[in-house]
Amino acid sequence: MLTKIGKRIRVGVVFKEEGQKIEPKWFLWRGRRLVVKRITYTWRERIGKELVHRFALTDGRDLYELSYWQERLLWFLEAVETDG
Amino acid sequence: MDKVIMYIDMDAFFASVEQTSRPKLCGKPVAVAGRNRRTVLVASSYEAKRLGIKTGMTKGEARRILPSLTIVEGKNEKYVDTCVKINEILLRYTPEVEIHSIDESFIDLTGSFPLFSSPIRVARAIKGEIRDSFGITCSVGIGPNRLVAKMAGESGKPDGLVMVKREDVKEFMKELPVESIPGVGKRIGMALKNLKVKSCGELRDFPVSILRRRFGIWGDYLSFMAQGIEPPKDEGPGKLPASIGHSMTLEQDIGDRVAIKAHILELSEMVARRLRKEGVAARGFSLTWRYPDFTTYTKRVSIPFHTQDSKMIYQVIGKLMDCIKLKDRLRLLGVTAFNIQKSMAISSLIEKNDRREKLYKAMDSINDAFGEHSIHRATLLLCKKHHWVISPAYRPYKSYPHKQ
Repeated sequence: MLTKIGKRIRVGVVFKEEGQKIEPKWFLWRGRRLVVKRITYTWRERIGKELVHRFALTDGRDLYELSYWQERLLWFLEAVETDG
Repeated sequence: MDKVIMYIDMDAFFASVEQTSRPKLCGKPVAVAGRNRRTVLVASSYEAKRLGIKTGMTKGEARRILPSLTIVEGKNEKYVDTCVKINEILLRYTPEVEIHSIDESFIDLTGSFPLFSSPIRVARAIKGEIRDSFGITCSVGIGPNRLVAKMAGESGKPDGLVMVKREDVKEFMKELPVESIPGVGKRIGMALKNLKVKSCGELRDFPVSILRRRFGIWGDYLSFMAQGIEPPKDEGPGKLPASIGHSMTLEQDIGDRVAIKAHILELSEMVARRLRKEGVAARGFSLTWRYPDFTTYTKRVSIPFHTQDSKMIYQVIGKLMDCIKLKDRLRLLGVTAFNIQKSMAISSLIEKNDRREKLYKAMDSINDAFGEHSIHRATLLLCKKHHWVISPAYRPYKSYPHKQ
């Protein structure tokens, strides 16, 4: 089950191909530095003026959904997959 | 030179995307639906299909059949973005790409064929790129026209690759059931069975005069298609849709006429926006309503001129609603436009209509640039914000927004 979080987070990210490819490498959540093991899916979405890049990724244990708001340069942890 | 048409169809598209996004769902029965409690399933994984889950079932119905089913809330933008990216891959092989629906495309390789060694190699490359980029599989059919390519693709599902050369079409079609012909559903399939026609081979040999008497012009089409010939009036880029409609199962049954009218306005807006996007106008409209006991009624009306004006559609449908004596609260409402033709600018000669057209143009531009419902009529605030999932038949209209 996906639990909605919607909190701003700090993310370590590599921008490749002149910013066309975005690869989050780690992020800070609840005082822990979680290293991204695999990005399982990415997609883009328009919300008003913003282009939002969304990432489903895993640290090898849990699944997280992150979003990057390109206009405001902000990262959010949108949801966490919990068992059950 | 024979045409080389390739049909690419994503396998259980929405459900596969969700399974790839959330690896814990891989190999499990999964269905995709909207957030609304009473919404229906729009897609299901092969694991779910094998256990009796079908598209169109209500969430409750599906859970009763399969309690272990995981129902995932669909994300329209995710599927549209994936569709756009897939079609960007296809455009690398030919400029002749036709998005048939969100999970199906046709490409015409005839012109670019000399650049590649064989259509099979192109198909394998496309399948590989889609699998590597998105972790999902697709079925590919190759044929001398779109009809045969589609039937070939469908026959190899899931993850198949079937090529039918012109000289093999007759043999390929011979044993296929008539229901494998696009457009032949349960009703026509049953009618053909009553004529003792079960396979495409039997349909091909059946006298066309009897088919014509039974099905009208469709009888001729059926006979053509059973021979692997694409009917002359088959849809192409210039083909007008027969109807454009939207319906919604309401979050709760409603009986208040003000609330019902607000939903009718919302549906009229949605229908009118699609008419404008397709560049068409309609002069026939219908209202569908369903009671909690699932009895469903439809009332139709025609007006003397074609329109794509949402206010006009709302007024026409609203008047229909006023004539109806409701026997209970409503579970579902639907608005459909039919009798469609290419839109013409005649109405802009009337000053008031001209202003309204400009208003719609401005609203459409804003919604195109900033997303659906960025701007809408204030009355729609009376409607609860819906979360619905697009149908797999949905066809994205525009290129990806960040490229505009």
